[in-house]
Amino acid sequence: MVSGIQFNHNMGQNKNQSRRTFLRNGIGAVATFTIVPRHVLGRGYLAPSDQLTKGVIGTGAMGRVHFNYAGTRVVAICDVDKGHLQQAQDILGGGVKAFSDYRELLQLPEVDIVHIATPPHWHGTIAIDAARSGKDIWCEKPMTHTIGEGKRVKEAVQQYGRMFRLNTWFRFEDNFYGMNTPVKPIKKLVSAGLLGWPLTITLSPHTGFDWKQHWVGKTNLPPVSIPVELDYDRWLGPAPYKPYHPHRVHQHFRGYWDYDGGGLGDMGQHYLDPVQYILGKDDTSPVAVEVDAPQQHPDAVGTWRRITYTYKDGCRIVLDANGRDEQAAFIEGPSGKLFPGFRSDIPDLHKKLAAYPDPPPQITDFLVSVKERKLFALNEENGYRSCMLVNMGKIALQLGRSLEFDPEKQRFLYDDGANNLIDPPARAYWA
Amino acid sequence: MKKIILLAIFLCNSPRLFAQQIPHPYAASINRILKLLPAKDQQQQDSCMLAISKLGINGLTEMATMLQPAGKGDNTSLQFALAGYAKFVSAALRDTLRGRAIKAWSKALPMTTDANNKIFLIELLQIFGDNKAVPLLKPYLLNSRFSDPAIRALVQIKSPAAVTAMEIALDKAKGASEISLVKALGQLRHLGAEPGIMLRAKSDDPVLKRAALFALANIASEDSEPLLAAAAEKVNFGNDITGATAAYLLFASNLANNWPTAPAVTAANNVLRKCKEDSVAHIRIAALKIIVDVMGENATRTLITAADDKNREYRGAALAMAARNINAVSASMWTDKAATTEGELKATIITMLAESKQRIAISLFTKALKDSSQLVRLAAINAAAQVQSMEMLSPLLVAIKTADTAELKAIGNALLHIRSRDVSGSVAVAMLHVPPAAQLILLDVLVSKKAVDKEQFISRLLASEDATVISAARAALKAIRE
Repeated sequence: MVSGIQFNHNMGQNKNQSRRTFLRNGIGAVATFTIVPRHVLGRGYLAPSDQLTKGVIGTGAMGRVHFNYAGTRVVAICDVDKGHLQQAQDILGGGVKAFSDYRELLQLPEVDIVHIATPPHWHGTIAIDAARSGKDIWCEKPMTHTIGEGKRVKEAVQQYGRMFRLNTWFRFEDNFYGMNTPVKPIKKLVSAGLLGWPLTITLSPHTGFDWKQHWVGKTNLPPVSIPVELDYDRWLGPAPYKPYHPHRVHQHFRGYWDYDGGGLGDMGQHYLDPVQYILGKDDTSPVAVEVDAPQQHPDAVGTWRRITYTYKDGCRIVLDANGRDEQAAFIEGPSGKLFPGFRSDIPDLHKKLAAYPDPPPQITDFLVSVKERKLFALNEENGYRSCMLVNMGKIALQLGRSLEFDPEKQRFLYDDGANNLIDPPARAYWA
Repeated sequence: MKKIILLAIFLCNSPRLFAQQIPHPYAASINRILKLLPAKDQQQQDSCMLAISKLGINGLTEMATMLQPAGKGDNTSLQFALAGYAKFVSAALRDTLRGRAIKAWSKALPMTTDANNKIFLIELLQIFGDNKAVPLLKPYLLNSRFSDPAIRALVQIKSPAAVTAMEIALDKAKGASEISLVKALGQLRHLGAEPGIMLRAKSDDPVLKRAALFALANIASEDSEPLLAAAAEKVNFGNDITGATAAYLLFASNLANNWPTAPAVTAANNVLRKCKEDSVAHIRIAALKIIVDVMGENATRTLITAADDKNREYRGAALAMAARNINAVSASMWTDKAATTEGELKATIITMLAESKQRIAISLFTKALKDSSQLVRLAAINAAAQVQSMEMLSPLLVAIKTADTAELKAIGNALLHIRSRDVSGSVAVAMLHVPPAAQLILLDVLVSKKAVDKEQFISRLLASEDATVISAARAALKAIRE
């Protein structure tokens, strides 16, 4: 597939590497603004030489959202769908390099950050190759499609000293969905111990979380010819070969186990990552996952009713898709409850909370993280753990049974079938 | 003529007609089960799966062969049943059922002619296959259509027989099968396959070469070192389509898991010796990490040297690695290092020591509160918040007298982190002798700590010459009385 591609290892390397080094050495800011004063160019303006450059891999709807991130400049794009690639080029204008093979994009020395906006089954493979190519990584959620891939991404990012940002942000900004409050005060409340311990956190429609049960797949799909603009073999990439059908790709892929995991795959890390942070579980995983769901088809994702994670210390996370427990608090502990809108049964909660320190500060601007080589708030380590919650839930759903887990060895206990889904071998020949 | 045409039509349709006449003794039982699928919950699912197990090997075989080619019927219920059963028998203590299922698959697979259905059945062996399934999969290893799922199933099975089957197949494999086998044998770290894979690592086909280099890296035998090193050197330790440099580093990293570990360090040092450019900082970082992973706390001197490197990214990575390996001994070495450095590096070392709560560095933090660099001072203040030590209290209250806005805020936060009943008393006393901006911060601390017994100190600020302080003191008195 790629044997005809010519790779020039030194293409523009010296020139562009100087710019990268200049930026990362953090001394560029003073020297580069002598011609036009910054205020003349408007608030927030950064000269092109001071911006970080991005290569966006996957230029569908999600990829395009990230074309205009302040402080960055897209210099290269990649997509296996020529239609998407052309539309993206039309938006970005000339001067942007376009590829159908992400490995060609990774060869570009002028790319600082790789933004991975492909379907999840590609996240791990691309992230590992990006780390090996010396790129910093901005990856859409879920971080990886399998637990095994997540471990390898974490290892590669750390081995090559890359900065990694997972693209969900609720642990450090914005209101946490229907809770109508940011996570910071919730974290402060939990750390203060005012609710007691252990805690149960419920993510249900009643506490402000929609599990998007419409993300289901279809069975008995008839064979359909592959559109000429789509390189379907490369779209599948590491996923097992299945005959093409438009419902399997692009905006529908979330409904198929080979590429994602329905509403749990789509929203899981958005919802679960802040919860993991609130509970202080960034360095561990649950010891059990229980599922209550109809049987799942081996290919098409179905709906589910309830998934419950239990940690060793008794803390629990309950995903209640249908809002069966209407009275559930968002957090319930032995000493109190917290409901949406920061309502609580603890008297004078705000006053009591004022006596406690805020959670430690985090680096919440990825450009700062890249320029100053400092760990981003949601990085490869805690992102791996919160993605593991998603993937543990997916495995339990696929098998239709509750599972026990060893958070240290990161293996399921007494269950070959579950362990076989931790790191299923990828299809090799797409390469 | 008409008779001949009719005869021809009859003969064309005869297999289907004959097939319809073949008895399906389990059809009724199977249909009863299929009507209950998909199961609405685990209880119903378990009950259906037990019903399938009662069909026995022949019944299960019949069920598997009922799958229709795409467009010729709806396989959904059968897929629920077969996949559900594959998952059911993969659970603990179901080895007997698992064995019977494999026997059924061994009968059904050859009878299944539709490619997609055959792939479906092979893929389920990834879930429940064991060593007994190896003979079923062997015939497909050189088949371009079925080799990928068959090889992936053997990778999951992992048994010696599975590995041997793939090693033998590799001799004759071409194209997709060859690449899949190389990758699989590497993934399973099968030393016996090394010679065959080494040959392929010299291929002109970049895809095959890449698969072979990474397979050798996974096998991590020292015999491959010259080949992998040469491949990486050939691309100047840069980034190329075969991933030669990454493969060499993966190899060195895997060597570190073997004993002795010295060859891993030698390989990593080889990379560090030959890579000096900023453009390969990430490669140097990866090599340094291998050394640190092997040497652990004995790598502190290496890391301290790396902390002085001209490349900021490399320096930063060295400090991050140091933070992961810090203990009392290395903390002492880093404390000494910090005392001889300045600016950003000093601040970073202080932060690293603070984040790992190294109390041995408290004297360093205290002295750093008076550093000429604001970066260092802020790092020291934040360090006080991290170590939460009473020893930092007085120095912080001295530092607050000359602190700028950012430092004032940081000191306020640090004071809230120090866990002692004496904090309020010391803060209250100090508050009377610091500039107005600092008084505002210390008032906030007393309010946060609900220091009711310090009202007299707060009241004295009502006589301040600064209107903001007076207003803040009033508010503070009100807040702590509530």
